[in-house]
Amino acid sequence: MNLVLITALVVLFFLVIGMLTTSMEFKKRKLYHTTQNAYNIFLVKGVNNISVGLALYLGLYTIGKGPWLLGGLIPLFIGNMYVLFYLLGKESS
Amino acid sequence: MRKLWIVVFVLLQILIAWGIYDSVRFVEFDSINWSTLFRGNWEDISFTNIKHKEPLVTNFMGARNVRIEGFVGDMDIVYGDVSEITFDGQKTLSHSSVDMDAFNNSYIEERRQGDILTLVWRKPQGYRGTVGFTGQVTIPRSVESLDVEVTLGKVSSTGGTNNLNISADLGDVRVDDHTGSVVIDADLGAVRLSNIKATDVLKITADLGEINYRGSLALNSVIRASLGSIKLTLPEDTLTNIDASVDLGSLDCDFPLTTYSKRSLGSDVIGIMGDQSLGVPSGNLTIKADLGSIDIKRAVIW
Repeated sequence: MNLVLITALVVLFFLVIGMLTTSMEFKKRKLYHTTQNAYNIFLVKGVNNISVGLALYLGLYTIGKGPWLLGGLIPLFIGNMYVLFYLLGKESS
Repeated sequence: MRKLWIVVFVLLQILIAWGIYDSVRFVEFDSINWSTLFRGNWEDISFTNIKHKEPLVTNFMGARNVRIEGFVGDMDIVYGDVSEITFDGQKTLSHSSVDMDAFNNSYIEERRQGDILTLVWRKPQGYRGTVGFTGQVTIPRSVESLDVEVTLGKVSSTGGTNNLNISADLGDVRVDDHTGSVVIDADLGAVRLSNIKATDVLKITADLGEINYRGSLALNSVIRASLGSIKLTLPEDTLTNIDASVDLGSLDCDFPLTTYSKRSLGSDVIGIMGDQSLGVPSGNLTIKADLGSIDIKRAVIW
């Protein structure tokens, strides 16, 4: 199978899993916090992940391009998802 | 404004997804033996991206002191009753594009200064790809000191009787059945040494990777790991002065220790390690682990 297709499928799979788990986590948090507070927690988590991911990415990039960059890209991806969830959630509410 | 941010973050997410794809697309997954991965043999996995390779066999007259510098690729060092140093393996090119000029203009440069032979891997200036050598290097047994510097790749040495100094930036180091002083400096990779009879100096440094040592200690032994655990398996009759400290992690020792102090997150040992009824301690052992555990085992059968 084409490598692009495999990568797209893997990214899509993790995207769906990420959206589901983020959504479930949000529902859980709403049980104990106000909706506003739950969204704020997601924003903090997102910014934290993006900061760590970006720092790792820049640090790892100094040794060149390769699979080790995943160490920075994956936290960036997760952090971005949290921030997107925060922005979309705030928009709809 | 919020909609603009949403668009920005969606675009960023697409860029990151592309980055994930771009960072792994050159890895030749076909070359990975997945069965070894699931058996836990991580050291057998090589994420190389070899686009072109040709056999390379070349000889150099030996010397008492040999330095091998700037090499790229997996190097397997063996020793033989020979007078010449033999490189037998493959010249490889790893890059997104195949640049045959760079490939053909990469070579081993020979420099002699007295009884020191220096072999340097040369590639064209400014070439961003990697041309290297992967294979077996046969070293004469008469060589007294061997310095090996590999910037990218694994290094292994088997059956040496000399003063060995290995520096590996990115890759594991493995030494088996060695007699003599041993100095290993690994930046990113595990260090595994077994059946070592260290004489004057034993110095092992690993920045990111574990150290696994099995053998006897030298008069001065220094073992340091920044991020990774240290496991030593020493002869039953080991009796030495010890200065060990762990900043964050556990310290376990099969041998009796004179002093042991536990801190909130780490441990310190300064004193004597071993059975003092065997005599007076000989040599000094310094072990430092910043983030990782230290485990000193007593070898039951040597």
